[in-house]
Amino acid sequence: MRPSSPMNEPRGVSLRDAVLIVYGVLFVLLGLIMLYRVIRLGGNPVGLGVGGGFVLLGVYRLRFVLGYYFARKREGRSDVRG
Amino acid sequence: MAEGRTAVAELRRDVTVWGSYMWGFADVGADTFVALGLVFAFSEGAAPLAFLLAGTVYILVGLAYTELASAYPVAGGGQYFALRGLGDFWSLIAGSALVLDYTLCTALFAYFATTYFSHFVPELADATIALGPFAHVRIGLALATLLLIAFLTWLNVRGMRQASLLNELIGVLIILVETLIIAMGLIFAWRPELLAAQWSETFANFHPRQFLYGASLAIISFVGLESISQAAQETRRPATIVPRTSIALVFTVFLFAVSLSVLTLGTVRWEVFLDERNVGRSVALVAGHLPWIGRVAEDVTAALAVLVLMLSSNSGVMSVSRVAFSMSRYEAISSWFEHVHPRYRTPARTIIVFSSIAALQVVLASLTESAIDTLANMYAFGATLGYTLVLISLIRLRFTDPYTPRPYRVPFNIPMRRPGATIHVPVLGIIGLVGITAVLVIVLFTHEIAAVAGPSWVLLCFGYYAWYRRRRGLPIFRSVPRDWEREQMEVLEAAEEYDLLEQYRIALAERDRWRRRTHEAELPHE
Repeated sequence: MRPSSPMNEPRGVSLRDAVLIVYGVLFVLLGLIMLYRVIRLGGNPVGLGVGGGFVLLGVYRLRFVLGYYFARKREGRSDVRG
Repeated sequence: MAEGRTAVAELRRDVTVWGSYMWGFADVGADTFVALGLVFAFSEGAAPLAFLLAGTVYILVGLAYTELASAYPVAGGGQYFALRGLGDFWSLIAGSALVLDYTLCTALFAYFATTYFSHFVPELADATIALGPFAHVRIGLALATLLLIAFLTWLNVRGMRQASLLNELIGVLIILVETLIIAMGLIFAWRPELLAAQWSETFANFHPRQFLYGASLAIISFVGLESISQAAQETRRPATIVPRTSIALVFTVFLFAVSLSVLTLGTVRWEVFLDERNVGRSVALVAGHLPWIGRVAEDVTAALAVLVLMLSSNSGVMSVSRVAFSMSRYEAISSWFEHVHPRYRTPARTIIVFSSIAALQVVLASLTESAIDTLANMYAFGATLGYTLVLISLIRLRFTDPYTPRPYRVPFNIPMRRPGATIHVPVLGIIGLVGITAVLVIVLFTHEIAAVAGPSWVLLCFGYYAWYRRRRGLPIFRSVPRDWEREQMEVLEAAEEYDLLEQYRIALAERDRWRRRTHEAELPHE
């Protein structure tokens, strides 16, 4: 077990994490807007593909960021106990 | 070889994770500013499909580069990978393709920097003269481009620290502005009905040859990933940093290129790109359609485009010098190119020679009907030929060198048990090879200038190579024997990748043990 140190403790959301989260939310929003507007006009394959792609990518990035954040939190907690 | 190793040790490892990403982005990120209008001019309403197809091939090439650059963090990129995978002759072919591409990168992006600059000074684009049989030489753009190349050459001879800082600052600005254009454009300016109409019109009257021409030009919006490999020898802890920066870059650029093309198709009529002046400022033109801030966005985009295109051009100067440095080190070209400037510690001679070739390309292209189309044609040829050889090398190295640790491996592999090692056959690498070979064939069949000038350049390089090797008493088609295992250990040690070095030693020891056992088992039969 590694000794507890300020380096191992969770430091909250870093600038890099914040950028990833902002981009993730932006992707989801853009994708939903595109899908709504394209579907309203009957659905074009390019619009559907890119809109859907944006939503999926945004969700994937947010999932990754949240998973990473919680893992770091868990790691920090186990270091404190150890 | 010992002399070469000394020179390599003199290249400073001062590129960080952010610097490595920005070096790649400075090269690849600017490609969309060049390719957008060109691809629309040929692929019409099917341009997003052209970007999507080219982008898919590019992702596969990008993954291959990520694996190879992190496993072999040495300046030279594709040329070095071909040397390790295919030998001296094919390495020369890959090297000549990459040198062509980097000099064209310098020329094409410097030219586009001036066309975007002409958004503020239209007289620059309008200044034409007649030179004998050449009726419309755009002298203003040509001279401005030559001045820019001279400035970048000076900057690179002085050293990479200054250039790296410049890359990082402007790269951040460009990412922010591109994001703003795409987000605001898709929300406020994008009209799906216009996109659907242009899409249907194009497919109602579809021209496959024109579409394929556009798709093969779209590949230029993704060229430049090599820069990360070129900088790998100067990157701190490359095995850790290169996969992270490379994969992030592959997907960022793919996303920007496809999004911008979809935004463009739903914002302006594709016919506007039939005017070459609009091709030369395509992204600024799209930004100009943003509501409320259109006028300002157009100016800001044009100004930033000038900067990022300058960076991309600079990236070409930097990378070509490293390819030439590597070719010289492995005896494909004279060791004269290997010289490192005593004061600035940069490969000054290669920078000056190949920047001069870029300047010559600008002069020659300016004599043709469309300098932009001529340079882009050639650029596509060099990139696809180089990438084809890199993918072949990736596949072959999996068989010939399974012992080198690969911090990143292209996903989806078929494991094959071989005596002494397990080979992982890269399925995506094979698919990528089929894709990039198809693009190369399309380039050769549809690009009139590239089909002649591209192979001629390769032949010229081969002529020099044959003369140089014969003079040195070295084989022309065969490879010079080299101790790759020792070199790999030195590379990993210089990169301070001690874990990988240990893994490599263990893998080699296991192989040697297996060889001894096999040899002993064979002895009684003998």
